[in-house]
Amino acid sequence: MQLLRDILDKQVVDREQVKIGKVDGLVAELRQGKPPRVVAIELGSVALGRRLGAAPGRWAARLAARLSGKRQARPHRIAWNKVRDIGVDIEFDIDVRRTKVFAWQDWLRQHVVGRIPGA
Amino acid sequence: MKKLLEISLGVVTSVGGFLEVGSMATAAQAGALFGFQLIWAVALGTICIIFLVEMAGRFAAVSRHTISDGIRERFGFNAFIWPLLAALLVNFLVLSAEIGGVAIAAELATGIGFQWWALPVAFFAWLLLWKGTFGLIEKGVSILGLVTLCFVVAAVMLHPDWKGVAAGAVPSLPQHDTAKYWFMAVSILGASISPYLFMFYSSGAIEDQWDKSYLGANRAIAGLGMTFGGTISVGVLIVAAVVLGANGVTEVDDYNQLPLMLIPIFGFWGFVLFVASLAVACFGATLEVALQQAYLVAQGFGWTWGEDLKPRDDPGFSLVYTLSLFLAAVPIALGLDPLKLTIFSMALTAASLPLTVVPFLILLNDDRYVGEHRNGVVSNTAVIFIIALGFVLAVVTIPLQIFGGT
Amino acid sequence: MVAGFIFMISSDCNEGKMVGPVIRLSRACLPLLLLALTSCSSSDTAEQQTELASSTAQAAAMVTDAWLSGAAPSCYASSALLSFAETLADAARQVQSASPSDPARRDALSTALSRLSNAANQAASAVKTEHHAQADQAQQELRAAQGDLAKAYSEYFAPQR
Repeated sequence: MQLLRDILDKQVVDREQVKIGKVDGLVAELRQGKPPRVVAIELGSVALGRRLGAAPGRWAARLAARLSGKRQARPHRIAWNKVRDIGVDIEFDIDVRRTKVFAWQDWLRQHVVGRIPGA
Repeated sequence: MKKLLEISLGVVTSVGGFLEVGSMATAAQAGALFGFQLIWAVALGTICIIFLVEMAGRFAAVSRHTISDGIRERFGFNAFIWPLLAALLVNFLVLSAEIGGVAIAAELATGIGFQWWALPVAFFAWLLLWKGTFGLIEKGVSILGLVTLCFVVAAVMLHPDWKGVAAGAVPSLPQHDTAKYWFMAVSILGASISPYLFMFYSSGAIEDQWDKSYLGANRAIAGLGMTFGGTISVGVLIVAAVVLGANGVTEVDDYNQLPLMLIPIFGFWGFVLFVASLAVACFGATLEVALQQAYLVAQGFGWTWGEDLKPRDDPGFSLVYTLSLFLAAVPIALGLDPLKLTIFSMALTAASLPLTVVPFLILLNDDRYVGEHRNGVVSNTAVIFIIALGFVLAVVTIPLQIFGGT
Repeated sequence: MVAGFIFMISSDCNEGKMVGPVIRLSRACLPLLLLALTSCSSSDTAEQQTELASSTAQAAAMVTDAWLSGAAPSCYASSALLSFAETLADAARQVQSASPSDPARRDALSTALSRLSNAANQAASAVKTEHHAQADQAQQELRAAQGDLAKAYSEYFAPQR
């Protein structure tokens, strides 16, 4: 399996087929004499920032920390061993509502979208 | 057979995408100044968009990805940023022009200045997107869009010199105003080949849950739907040539001159038909471009998206179209001339085409996405040729137009 | 484009002998370019504005006709005519401020353009107040002014006596 081609930037869904996001980053373990092993995938603005460069990564982390506290300053990680299926999307055996990935969307829903009638 | 009923997807994409303020304004200006000479530009644009739309449908049906999603996945986020930014910017200008088109129609009908209509139009579009479903928008706009057939009827009723019309379908060199001729050709190409058009089509195909069994219907829909739009554009051009150009109104630089196209033929109903056509075509485009902005961002970042969902279930998606609509209304509300904005944004579209079409073409040749349904030589060649032509013309004529001054 | 030339000259000044000829060439071309730009402008302006004006005047005539036959609603017709009148007045101003070789011919041209603008304004107020007779008059004035324009235009470009 080619890491960059088959995993990076692919759509990620949870066990209920809810779209979580795209694979914004990968965490791999380098091993002696063997190909690297994927340990986890990363999602979120901090991971995306790092894709663009070291400096954008730092700015994204600082912005996230300022907006939502120190814990959101690191990218969201999903362990690779939770993978259930890889097809058009990568399906993970998790429930997105139990993660913090949707924190910003929940905030939007509560404070902006939800306040507009007819949402 | 039921699939052919989904021709409504092709028709709405065509009415909202092909026939909108850009194609109407460029066709009217071209017809008034150059008679039938620029029909070839409309024909070329139509051919190109038929190929692109068919490819968009095929791509969505076979790979189950939308174009935005596919470009990010295939080229990576760092490369995706460029088509994303270019598309967001060009779409913003086009959306502004479309809102301006509806605002002009409202001004013509009521006498109240178009600036006052910008925000109400954006609000009404937003309301439809917020509460409506994809099916409702698709079918509603396509049925209302049939009013634009009045241009085709008008063109036929005028008994134009059909030999001259046919001659215009072949490219020819201008006898006068050379720089303007090529600039208009570029604007017509940009008006016909809008990236949001075929990207919207791929999102729509996923919204309508197309799969491989739709490939044949897709070809029919793309071909018929885009030809519908192209024929109406040619109709506008012919009418402008015979009613305006031949009577000495050679420079259509004021939107108040546009209703004059249909009034001599249909009398007062001509005025009504024109206003209705302009309003429906531009409103359809407003909905489409706003949705496309949201699709572009949501699909590129992997958020939940879908017009059939309630906004609370896809807050990111809903907020993008909300913001897009209200921001795009601002230039019009501030009084920017919608006609000038339209012509400019069409030319800019033509210049930006390679950035969005080239990645798309690569995807259509990648068997990891489309399997054995890869593009043939004809599709690839036709699209590359037309896009390259548009780009070269745009790069040459836009500076000339800015310095030559219109 | 002119700015481009100047930039090239100033940035090359510190370079070595090889750009000497380039600098000399640019310095020679620059005044020619400026001359070309200024000599193009006034007859170009006159031509451009006259073409625009005759097109706009014709549109004004068409709108007035349409209103007289009841095909165009009054609020559309009057705002269209006002908009055309503004374009025509602007054309007159532009022609007036250009500096040609023959001021008399330029004046004739801009007078014709102003007459057109006034005729369009007349038509606009006739439409607003729903006076058919006045609109008819304004229509005739418009046609007469169009004739004026055609005459002034052909004289403007006729060879100097």
